[in-house]
Amino acid sequence: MDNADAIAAQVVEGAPSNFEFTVQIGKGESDGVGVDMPVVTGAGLVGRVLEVSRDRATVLLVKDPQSGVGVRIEKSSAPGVVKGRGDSDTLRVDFVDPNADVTKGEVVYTSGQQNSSFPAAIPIGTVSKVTKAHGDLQQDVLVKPLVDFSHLDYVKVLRPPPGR
Amino acid sequence: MTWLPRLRLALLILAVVVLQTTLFSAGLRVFGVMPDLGLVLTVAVAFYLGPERGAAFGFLTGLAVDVFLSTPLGVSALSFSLVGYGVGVAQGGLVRSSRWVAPIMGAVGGLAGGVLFVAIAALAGQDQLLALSSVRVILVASVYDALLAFAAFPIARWATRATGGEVQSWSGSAAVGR
Repeated sequence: MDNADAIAAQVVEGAPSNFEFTVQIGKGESDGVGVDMPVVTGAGLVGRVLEVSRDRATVLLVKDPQSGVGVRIEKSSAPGVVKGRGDSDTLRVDFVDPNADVTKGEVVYTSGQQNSSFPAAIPIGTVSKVTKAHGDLQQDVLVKPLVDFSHLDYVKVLRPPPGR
Repeated sequence: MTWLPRLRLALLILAVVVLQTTLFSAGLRVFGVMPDLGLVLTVAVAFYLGPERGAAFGFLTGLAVDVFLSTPLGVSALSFSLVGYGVGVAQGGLVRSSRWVAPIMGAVGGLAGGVLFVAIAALAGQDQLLALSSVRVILVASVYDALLAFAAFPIARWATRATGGEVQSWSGSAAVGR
């Protein structure tokens, strides 16, 4: 059921290629879906709308290497950018301050910083591995996504608030 | 080539696009990987029709598939075309035919096509494909392609018959020169 802020949609197809990490949903322009709108499930962030036609839209999943999402890590509030790693079952967080105290199990949320397509506080995943070597410019942080991309049935496309 | 084989080949391209974007993308995956139907069929058609027609069929099939992908238009067209040409040239050197020709060519064609796709896409700016995960995907897909080749070769043989002579026979009968 649709409400003013979100459009519910069924996932109707997977990616047409082994080198793409997208899904097709059964809602499009005629339903109010637009490019770059965030897509979520009850578990967390799925991705964003990449292309849209009249009745369908293609969603770029966060696990796609072309995807990048500004995030904050729960306890330390350390900012970073979550990047997809394709076939891997984890995501990578880039540009995390090497002095930030990041621990395994922390939740990673969208930061919603200015001009971001993604509103703040949408959960993406939990930290599964942290590696920092002395002298590194950033920590290596891996995140296990909350969304099960192999079993996507229904998603919600978030409409931007009025005036945005 | 008369109009009937051309019509059959055009219908085959349509069937490939429909199956690839619906059935195989929706669920018929092995370890999360789907086969490259267009590539397998290009290998099969090139086996019977030779390098030039194999390349042309590969180009058209790849272009039809490219329309549905977010990679630059033409990447599949070029990679399928090159594989079609290579298979067409290679089959001319086959002296003996065997029941294993189809799966072997399906696997080798799938491997070559996958590598070419990644290389050409990377040249076109899709650097993210140059990853270890792509190697795994290409290997699994080529095994799947080898299995599908058992069905693809008889279908290609049916589609290309009445072209004025088959270049090579898969099932062991004598090759007819052109």
